Amino acid sequence: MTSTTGCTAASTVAAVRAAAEAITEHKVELTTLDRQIGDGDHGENLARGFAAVLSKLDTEQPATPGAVLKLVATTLISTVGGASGPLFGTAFLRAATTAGDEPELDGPMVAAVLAAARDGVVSRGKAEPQDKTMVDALIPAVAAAEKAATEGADPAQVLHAAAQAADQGAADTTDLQARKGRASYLGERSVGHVDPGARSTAYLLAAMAGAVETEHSR
Amino acid sequence: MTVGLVLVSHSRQLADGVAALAAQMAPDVSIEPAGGTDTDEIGTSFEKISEALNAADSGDGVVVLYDLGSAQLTTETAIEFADQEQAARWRMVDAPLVEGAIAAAVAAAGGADLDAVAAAARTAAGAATGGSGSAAGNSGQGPGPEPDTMAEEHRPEPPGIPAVGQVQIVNPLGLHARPSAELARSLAGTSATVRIGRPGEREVDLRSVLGVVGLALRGGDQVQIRVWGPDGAAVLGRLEQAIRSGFGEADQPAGGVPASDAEPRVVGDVVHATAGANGLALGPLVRLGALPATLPDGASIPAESEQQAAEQLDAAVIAAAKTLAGQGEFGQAHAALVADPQLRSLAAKRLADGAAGAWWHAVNEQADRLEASGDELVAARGVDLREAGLSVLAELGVHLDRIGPAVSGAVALAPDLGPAEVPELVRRGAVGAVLSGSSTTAHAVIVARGLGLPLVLRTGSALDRWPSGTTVLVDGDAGTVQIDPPQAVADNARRRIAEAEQRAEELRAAAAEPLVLPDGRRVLIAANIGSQADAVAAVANGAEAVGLLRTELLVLDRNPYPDEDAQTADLTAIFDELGDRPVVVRVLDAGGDKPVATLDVGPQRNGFLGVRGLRYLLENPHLLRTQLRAICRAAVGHRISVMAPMVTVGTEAQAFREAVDDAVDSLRQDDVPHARPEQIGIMIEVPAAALAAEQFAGVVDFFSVGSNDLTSYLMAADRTEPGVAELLDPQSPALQRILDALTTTAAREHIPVAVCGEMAGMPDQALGLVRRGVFELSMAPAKIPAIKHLLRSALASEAAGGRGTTAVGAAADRA
Ligand SMILES: Nc1ncnc2c1ncn2[C@@H]1O[C@H](COP(=O)(O)OP(=O)(O)OP(=O)(O)O)[C@@H](O)[C@H]1O
Ligand SMILES: [Mg+2]
Repeated sequence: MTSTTGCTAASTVAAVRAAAEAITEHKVELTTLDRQIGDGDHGENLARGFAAVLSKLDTEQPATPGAVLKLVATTLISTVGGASGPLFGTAFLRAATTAGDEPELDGPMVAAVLAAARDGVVSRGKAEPQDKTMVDALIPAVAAAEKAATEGADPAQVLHAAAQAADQGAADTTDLQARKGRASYLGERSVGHVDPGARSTAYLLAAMAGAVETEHSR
Repeated sequence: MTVGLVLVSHSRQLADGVAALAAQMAPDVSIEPAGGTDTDEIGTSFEKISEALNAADSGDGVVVLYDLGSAQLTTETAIEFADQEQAARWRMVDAPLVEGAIAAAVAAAGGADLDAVAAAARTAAGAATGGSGSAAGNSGQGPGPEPDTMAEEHRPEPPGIPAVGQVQIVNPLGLHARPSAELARSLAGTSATVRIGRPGEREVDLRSVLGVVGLALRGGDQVQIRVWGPDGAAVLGRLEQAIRSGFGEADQPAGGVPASDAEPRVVGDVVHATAGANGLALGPLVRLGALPATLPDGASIPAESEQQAAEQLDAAVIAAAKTLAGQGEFGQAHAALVADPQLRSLAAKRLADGAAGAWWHAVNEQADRLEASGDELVAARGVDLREAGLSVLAELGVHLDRIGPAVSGAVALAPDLGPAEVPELVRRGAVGAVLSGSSTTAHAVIVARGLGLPLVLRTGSALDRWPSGTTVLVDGDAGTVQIDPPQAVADNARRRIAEAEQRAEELRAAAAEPLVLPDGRRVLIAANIGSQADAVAAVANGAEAVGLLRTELLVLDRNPYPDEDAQTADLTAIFDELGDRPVVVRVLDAGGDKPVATLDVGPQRNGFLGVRGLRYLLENPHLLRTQLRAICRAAVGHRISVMAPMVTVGTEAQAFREAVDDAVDSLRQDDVPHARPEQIGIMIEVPAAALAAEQFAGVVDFFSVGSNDLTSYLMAADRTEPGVAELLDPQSPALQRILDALTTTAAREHIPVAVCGEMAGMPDQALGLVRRGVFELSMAPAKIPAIKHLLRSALASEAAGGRGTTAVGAAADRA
């Protein structure tokens, strides 16, 4: 039973809260992944950032999906402390710009918002596909989202498609050698591990997809 | 007031420690550490960095050094979030943190300006071996230590006692490429050996422009010159005088740039430069000019012997230098670059790979070194060298493709474009182009107008700091480039682009209808084309005829020069696209600004006032004959006329007519299928021809006004020289008057007049031309629909009693 299918400010807040929960839930795993090929702080970094996001959401009530995304962006940028801060921060910021003042995002808009997020990460970090970064999760995620959107999917379905593809993209980073970020200093030794940023990207998308779906079937 | 310093590190202790270390050597410089996260854990803090930037900036700018990863990303983000006016004087420098900080602090303490402090930090990067700790994965060969060819001091000194002098450099930019080239050129004709350098420091051979540029000698520096040879003292005197003269740039402000590199205005995120070709384009920026460091397999053909390769290379260098030398002052600097003996000796090591391979390797090696220099002026010469080097490659028959597939849907950014590169950009799906240099009358810009590719030019270095992939909005009407436009602006632009597309589509549909004047006279709206792609565009845009088929592009870069069969085939392909539309083929207009790779059209003799156009063809009758035969052969089944460019007097036109007759006769004798041109005409580009048009009566069947060259010759203003661009005004009374004279005489002598220059496609000029009785307006294909629509509505409102000129104005606003 779907009362509304568009993604509203309320459902965006729910998505962000779910994302924060997912990060807390997977914090140890993400940090472990980062310890294998980085400096072992990715889980902590994101947990710190999203904790700050949650406390902001307790006091502020952004009126549009765009405003919610923007709040997440500025909070992550100033609190994460690692490379994923400016990267996810820019992603959410571009997403917010694309969402604009729309009160409600439909499927194609959600796909466009994801594409903007991807472009933000690429323009901030200059990573190419196959550099073993979060970009390798985002690219297939956006492709899948766009495909779903053209086939008429609603926001939740678009996000599910993105999450699924991101999950696969993250898994596929195992065989890659890192060429950006801390892990690039490891050279060949970075092969054989999943990239933490790609993994967290997949978790974030999955959590948001789930939340938007629940929100809309209420 | 001094330049400040910000040190960004993951570790609070590290940043604080480096700051303390640097402060010892530069107590008065504001050095702000920004280390660790907000809670002083390992990581970086947006807040700390933003605060440090503001604290360090006393108004003279800030140099930022960082350690790794998020230090760079977070700093970039902080700069992006800051007030852009302020952020414009914040420089991030990729250098080793400790060495860079000390070098920068010392430079700042000495009162150096922002650029100099940044350069000092960057030079520290070169001084430290083992790379800069950037995670960018500097794969493969880095710039390495000081190259051997630059270290002249290891060479034995020539015998004898040199004449020695010291002189102070007066022009602020010092010995950059152009003055260095000027000095090297002044040595032509003497066998003297000349070395130059700071007193007591490294010296280089003055004949090596790159070596001299590499010394980074600037205004105020003392230089020592030593000259060996019989005329040593005289040479020394000349050189000293040249340096003291300041090379004509003595009064430029320090840190300024040569006038023709003048910066465009940058307001917020919008770069205001020069409009090139109309239209809006939105897309990611893609830089052209990343040329491959090695030639593709098979491009460099190994010679039979190194000796032979050396000869080929020398011939190519001489030919390229000759061509470049005729292309203005900067061309001359390029000519000196390719003729640099250092390059030649670098290339000598690899001649076994063939001349082209050896040359390109040498060019890249040298350019890499220049680009690795800490001095921005020196580094900028790397691009010049590669660009200049390409012309030698072209002489060797190797044409590198720098466009690549990434331009699809993108805005191409390049210093300049060749005319042949523009159609290629369009073919590969580029939506717009931005040139940091060029001029509004450059051939490439004209081609862009023809193909409807929105283009902005002369952006200078304004876009240098934006990475490829940055979304830009190009407004070819306003001459602006907006960087990363806000969503609302981008959406609006997208809508306008879509609307323009749709309007163009509608106009195109309407364009197929002929244009008939109220008096029943029909005006042909025709296309100017130069290739098969243009022909397709002409048909698609509703061209009723082709008023000008330029043949230069068909031979421009062809090697060898196409023979009669090849030319026939090319023309046939174009004619076939055009079906039974009347087509005017202009025979080769070599010379002027149109070099032909395989012809000896040296720019001195064959420049705008030299042996150009028909003059050249009459001197080389075999070329004319071959081309006319090819045209007649391809003409079978089509409606083809021919015309000659750059005609001044009646006897030339007569000679052209006879050449056509000869070609037709010879084809008849050879029993080759052919068709005689329907009409024989001439271009009116030379004022003398326009003012005494009666001399062509009975000789030619029509005139076609080449308004670009006519304006240029009339105003004595080179249309490839940006400095005189504003003189090339189609509204100028002199031009209007000469057109009146021409059309009046032509009407009396019953010679029909067409216009095939840019003027024909100008909304504010087209109606005036029609009123003068012109029977055909020939323009870039993309302009046809709008011009036709415009003329139609103007004529209709005139017929309804409105005033024509205002109707055109109104219609222009609407279009
Ligand atoms: N240039 C980049 N482009 C895209 N993603 C990147 C880039 N650099 C790092 N990443 C992503 O960030 C993840 C690491 O995030 P984390 O928050 O742990 O930063 P970090 O590497 O510890 O930062 P720091 O540079 O402060 O050490 C990587 O797994 C990778 O996916
Ligand atoms: Mg990490």
